[in-house]
Amino acid sequence: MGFYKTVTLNDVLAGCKVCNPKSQRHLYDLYAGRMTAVCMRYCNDYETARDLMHEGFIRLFNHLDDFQDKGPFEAWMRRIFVNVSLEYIRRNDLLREAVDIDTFSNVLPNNENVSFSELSAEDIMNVISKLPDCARVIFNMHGIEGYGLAEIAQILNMSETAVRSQHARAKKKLRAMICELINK
Amino acid sequence: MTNDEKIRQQLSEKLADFECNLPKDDWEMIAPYLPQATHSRKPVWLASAAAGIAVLLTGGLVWLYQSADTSPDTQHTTAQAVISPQTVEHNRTVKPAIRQQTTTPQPLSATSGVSGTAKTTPQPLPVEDSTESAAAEVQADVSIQEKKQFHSETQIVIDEEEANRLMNQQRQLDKQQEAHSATTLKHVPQKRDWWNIGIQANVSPSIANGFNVKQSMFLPSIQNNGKPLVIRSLASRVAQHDLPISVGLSLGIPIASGWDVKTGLTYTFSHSKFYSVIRSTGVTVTACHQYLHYLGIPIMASHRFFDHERVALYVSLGGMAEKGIANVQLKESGNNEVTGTDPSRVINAIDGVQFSLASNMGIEVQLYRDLDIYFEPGLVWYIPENIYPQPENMRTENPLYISLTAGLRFNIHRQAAKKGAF
Repeated sequence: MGFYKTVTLNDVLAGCKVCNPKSQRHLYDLYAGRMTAVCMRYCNDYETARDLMHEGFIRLFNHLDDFQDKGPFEAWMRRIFVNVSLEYIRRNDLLREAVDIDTFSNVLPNNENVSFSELSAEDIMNVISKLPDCARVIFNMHGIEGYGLAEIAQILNMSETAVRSQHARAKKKLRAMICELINK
Repeated sequence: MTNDEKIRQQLSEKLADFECNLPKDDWEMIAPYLPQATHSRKPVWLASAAAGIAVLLTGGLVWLYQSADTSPDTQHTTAQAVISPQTVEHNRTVKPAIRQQTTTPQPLSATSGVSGTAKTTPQPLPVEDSTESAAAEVQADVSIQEKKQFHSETQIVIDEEEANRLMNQQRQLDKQQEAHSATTLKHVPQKRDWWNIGIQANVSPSIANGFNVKQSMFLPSIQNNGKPLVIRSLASRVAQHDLPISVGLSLGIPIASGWDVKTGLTYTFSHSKFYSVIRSTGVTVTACHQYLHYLGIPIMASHRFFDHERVALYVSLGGMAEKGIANVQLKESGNNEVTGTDPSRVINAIDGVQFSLASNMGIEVQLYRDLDIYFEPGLVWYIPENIYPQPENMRTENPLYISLTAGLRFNIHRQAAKKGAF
C-alpha cells in the first residue's frame, strides 16, 4: 500500500521560499551539475567553478523571492551564476591579460561560418576552454547567453569596439580548432 | 537568422543539459550557509509544552483520583482535629472549677468526700484512735487521698458527658461527609490493580492531506560508467511511502485504582520508494528504495472507566520517543540508455529522535483466565523535527495519523487480585 504524488519544479520552489531544507537540496540536486558547467565556461577551472557554483546557490536561495513567474526559472537562475562568474573575473582582473589569437587567422578564411553541429557537448566545452580568457568570456556572454555586444562592453567596462574585436577573434580561433578536430 | 544566432542555437541545444560531476558531499559544503527557517526550534518548544501539559494533566487526574479514594479517612481525621481543641478547651475550663471545689475544706468523716453527683461510692477511710499527732498525720493523709479521689471522680463524670456530646457531633459530621461524597464522587471498586505484559502490532494510516504524500526531495546522482547521465527535461520525481508497521512488547504498571502506566519497547519498519520521471522520453528511472528501522519507548497513562466481567474499556494518553537505528538505501539506475546497473546498498545512521504524542481508546476482551485481546484505535502526532530532520518517510510528510493497535495482554495474578478485591 502506498501513496503517490508527482513533484513539480513549482513545488520545489515553493519549498525553497519557506527555507525547507529538503526543497533546497532538491533544487541543488537538479541544477548543481549544470550550473557548475556554466561557471566552468567562464573561469576555466573545475575547483574555481565549484566555488562559484556554491556562491551562486547561496545567492540564489537568498534572493529566490525576487523570482517572478514571468519567465523560465532556469534562465533567471543561469543569470545569477553568470553574474557570479563575471564578478569573479572582474575581481581577479582576468581580462587585462594580452590577447593574441592572430596565430589562427590564416587557418581558415574569415567568411566561413562556425558550426558546432558535429561536435559533442564535451568537445564544445573543450574547445571553448582553450580560448583566451577575454575572448572566452565575451564569446560565452554573446554566443551562448545572448548578451548584446554593447551590454557586454558596459558590463566588462570595455569599449564596444574591443568587445567586437575579441568576439570576432574568438570565433576565428574556434573555427580553427573545430576544423582541426574534425580533420583528425 | 544571423550567423551568431545560428551559433547560439547550436550551442544552446548542445550545452543545455551538460553537467559536471560533483562530489557526493558537495551539498554539505553549502548547506550551513543557506537561509534557514526562523521557526526551526518551534517544534522542540511545542513538544516540550505538549509533553509538560500531558504530564501535568495525567498527574493531576491521578492525584484527584487518589484524593477521592482517601477522602473519608481525611475527613474523619479532620473532624478529630476539630474536636480535640474543644476537648482541650473544655478541660481547661472545667479543671479550674474542680480545683476551686477541691480547695474548699471538706469535713473529715467516714462517709465524706462523696459528692451528690458521684455514681461510685468511695471506700470509707479507716480512722483509729491514737495520739493527736498520729491523728493529725492520719487526717492529713486521708485528706490528700480524699482530694485525689474526689478529683478523679469529678473528671470521670465530666468526660462521660462530654463524650456523649462529642459522639453526637461526630455522627453528624459523618452523615454530612457521606452526603457530600454521594453527591460529588463515586468510588470505583478496587479492581485491576495488577501488572500486565503484552505483545502488540500497529499500523498508522495518515489522515492528513487526503492520504497524499506532499512532496519528495531527493534526487540521487545517476551516472553511466562514471560519466554524467544527461537527463533531458527532468520535470518531476515520485515518492511512494508504504504504511509504517510497528510491533512491540508492552508492560502495564498499576499506579492507582483503575490507573496504569504503560511502557515497553516498539520496533517500527518503514519502506519508501523514490524514482524520477523523465517526461520527454517517458522513461522511468527507479532510483532508490529506503528502509527505515526505529526502536521506540512509549510512556502512556491509562485509565479504565468501564470494567464488566470479560470486557473493559480504557483511555490512554502519552507519547513515544523513537530512535532510528538504520537507514538502508538500495539504489538502482535504469532507463533506455543505461541498463544492467547493479543496485548499490548503503546503510546510514539516523540522527536525532522522533517524538510523538498519542491518545488512544481501547477495548479489552478476556480470552482465557488472565489472557486478554485488545484493540486500541487512536490519534498519533509525530512532532516535526527541524534540527535533526528524520529521513523522508510517511511520518515526516504527514505528521497526523490514526493509530490502529491490536495485541494480546497477559495479566499477572488478575484472578487472585479480583477475588481479593471483592
